[in-house]
Amino acid sequence: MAAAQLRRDVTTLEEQVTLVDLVDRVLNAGVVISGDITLSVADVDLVYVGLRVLLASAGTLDRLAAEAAAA
Amino acid sequence: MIHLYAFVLGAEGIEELVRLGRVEAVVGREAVDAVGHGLAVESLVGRCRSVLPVRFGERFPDEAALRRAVEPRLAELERRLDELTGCVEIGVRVAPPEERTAVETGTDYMRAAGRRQADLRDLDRRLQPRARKSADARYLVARTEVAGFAAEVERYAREHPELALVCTGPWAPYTFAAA
Repeated sequence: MAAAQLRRDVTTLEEQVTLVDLVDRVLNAGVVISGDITLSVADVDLVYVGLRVLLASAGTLDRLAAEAAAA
Repeated sequence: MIHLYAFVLGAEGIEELVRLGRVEAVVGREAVDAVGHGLAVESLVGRCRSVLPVRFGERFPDEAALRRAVEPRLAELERRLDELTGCVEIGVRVAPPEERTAVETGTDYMRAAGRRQADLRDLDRRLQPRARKSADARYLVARTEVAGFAAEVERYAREHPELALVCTGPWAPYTFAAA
């Protein structure tokens, strides 16, 4: 998967908004198979709620949306 | 460790698959972060007849453990994949930036938030006929209807130049995967 390459290309504000949408979906939607899920970043396990706040807080989403609209 | 990305039907040119009858599980052997997971799932949309995204963080010690966890729910997963065939997800948001800068009190903020909700409900009524399902300003749309859906959002945006409409997609149908 060329995930790293794609991520470097995500530079414009519009794309950043989309990135937030992507992360929001990945963390908050989709099929759940096992009840017990551990999330990790760079092999460090994180508490689910902590990661969600870090990556997809409503404040960040609003700010990015506002900046994109103003650009 | 096996990381689970999605269940699919009619996969073409995808390397890491675990076949579970008609359904196939798309997996990865190396850990990725949430963005990597999302990009991997999105890359499946054009290469499979149907994609059922899996929430980030599902991992299993080996293929046998994956099969044990999934097999009791295979019929249900297959049914959902059939329902989602030919469909994508589109998200819509309303963000009025000029109000944001003018907001000074909590009451003003709540009023602005209320107006934004009302705008979304109005737009929602226009978009409903073009979607198969909807949830919280996210719409399940047939691939063949995406252009028409986007055109409707565009029309609404022209009628309401005071609103900053953000329309994103087409996404793999995350929001409708568990419904």
